Amino acid sequence: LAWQTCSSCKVLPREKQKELFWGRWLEMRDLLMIAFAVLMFLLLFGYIRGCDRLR
Amino acid sequence: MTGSGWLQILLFLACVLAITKPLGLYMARFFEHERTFFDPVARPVERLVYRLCCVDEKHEMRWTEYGAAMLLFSLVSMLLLYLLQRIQQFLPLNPQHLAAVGQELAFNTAASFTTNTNWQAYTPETTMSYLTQMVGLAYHNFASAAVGVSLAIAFIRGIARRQCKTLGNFWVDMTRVTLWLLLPVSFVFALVLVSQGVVQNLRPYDTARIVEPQKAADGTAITTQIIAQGPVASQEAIKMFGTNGGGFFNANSAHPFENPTPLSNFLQMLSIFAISAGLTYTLGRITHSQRHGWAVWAAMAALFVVGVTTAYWAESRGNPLLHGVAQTASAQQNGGNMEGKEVRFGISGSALFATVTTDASCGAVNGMHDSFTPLGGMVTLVNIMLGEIVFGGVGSGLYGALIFVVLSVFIAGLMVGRTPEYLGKKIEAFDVKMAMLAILILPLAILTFTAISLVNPSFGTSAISNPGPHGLTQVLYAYTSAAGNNGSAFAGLGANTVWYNLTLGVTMLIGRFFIIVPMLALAGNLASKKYVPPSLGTFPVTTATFSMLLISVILIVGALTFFPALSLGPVLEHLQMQAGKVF
Repeated sequence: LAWQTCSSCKVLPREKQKELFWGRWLEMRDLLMIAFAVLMFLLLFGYIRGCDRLR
Repeated sequence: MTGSGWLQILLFLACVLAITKPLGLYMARFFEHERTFFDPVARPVERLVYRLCCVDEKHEMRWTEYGAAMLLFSLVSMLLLYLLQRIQQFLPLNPQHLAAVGQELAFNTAASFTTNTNWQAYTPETTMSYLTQMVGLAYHNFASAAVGVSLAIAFIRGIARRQCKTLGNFWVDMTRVTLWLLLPVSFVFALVLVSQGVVQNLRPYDTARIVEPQKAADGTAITTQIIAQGPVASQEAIKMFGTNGGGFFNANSAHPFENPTPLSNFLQMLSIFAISAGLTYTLGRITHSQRHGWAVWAAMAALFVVGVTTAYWAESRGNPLLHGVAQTASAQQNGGNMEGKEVRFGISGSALFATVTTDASCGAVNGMHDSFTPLGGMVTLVNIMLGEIVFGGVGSGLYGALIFVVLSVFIAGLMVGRTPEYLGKKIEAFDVKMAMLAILILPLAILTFTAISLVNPSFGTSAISNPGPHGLTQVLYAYTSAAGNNGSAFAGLGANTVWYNLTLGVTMLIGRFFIIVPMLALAGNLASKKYVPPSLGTFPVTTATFSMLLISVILIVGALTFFPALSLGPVLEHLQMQAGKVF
């Protein structure tokens, strides 16, 4: 059942995939994901500094 | 419950005990740069790695530098995995021409594999190309496990070192654990799994004509079945040994290509506990208090026995609401609650696997936890809520347990009214603050996100497949699994949505790194302290009393934190089931 209903398993023609990828790549959503991950880690670097100063 | 079932559980515990010392000794030796039988193979490769990566192996790091290196490594490898998923359709080894993974799912998966969680909000065989599985996911299986073990060793050094500001070198620890332990053992274990029938190939998927044609819901006749293939054995070995748990197939270790026989099932369970059990011996060896290592091992084993006994009992009893169905064990059938379980593993093999995978932060499953009885399912949930310190994830299990040890010693000190000591180190205010920061972050992440999800029908409860307390448990389990970096799913929750992908991804990062930072701070502080010889008033951490106190502290902290949520989920569901109510 999962095979038939999984939304991410559509096999698209290669050209269509390419079009979708390059069209989407620099969209805000990808940048947002990367920025979000970087932000989380920046917070963690800050956390290290905070814990060190607490001592 | 059957005699053979109990025998399997006892044999399992005996095997865990048997491998603890040799593996722990081996790890202590290569981490302390003593000679091992594997040096002639690994040492030249190690030197090459350092030369290529410009690593000075003599350089010692303070806890801040150790933590920063670990975070930088994790960030870079997380971003690389994200990009790999987004461009997999242009890369080789994609015979099924699978498309790029969606942004939120790619973020979730990158966070998941970087944090050793391996939560999978997707169907692997229809979402990830062979290249993504091998280069992206399998790489993280090694890297995240190596990070965990390295951190545990850094913590042990923090306890063992005296008036020293450093904890070792992160890059050296990572390289050593990978070359001396993870790679060789995974190589051998993959071959063993192949001998049991686990597949290992790069072929396109097979199409088979099914013997009994089926009809789909819309009436279309189904006459063929696609059989997924792939390099499974190589990924399966590190998936279990590194307590990763992310399956090559959606059915994980319930799939006959991942876990074909009762023997492969037994070996997979054993490999989950192997490193974590061994690390307790390493702790004793490096801190020169072998009995302390065994005392920690005993506390873990006691909690394991309680968990597996409860799960086995609950699943063997079956479901009282199923009338007219024989649920007693006989020569012909396993008996009990067999829904969602594989016949070849039975009740004991499934209950044992479920307990082991949630005691450790593995998350592989050989049966569906969602189909367990309410109490059986609660065991898996509670195991993760306690912090997965019953042997636990590779490395993370030990440093999680040691944080509880510090807390136990502190409480013991409060009882007698003197400054607590732990293996010759005075436990002071800063140490307890760091221990509490590490302990409190887990319930904070779990309960906050669960609460938000449960009061929002639009993006939270709409993904639940079961109404009532079972639905609450599904959401609670998802965030618990993510925060505990377990990765097993209670199933039934449609987690591939923007809300769940993002919040579960964030929960995994919080559950991993916001515990590691205070843990490293604690280790760094312990390392800098001078040694205080034990006196008459020192609470010994090598006795059965200590093990009992440690168990009590773990259970009390867990119960006080999570009992309200558990009472609304599995406890209520159990009581309703006994009263004959269905949802």
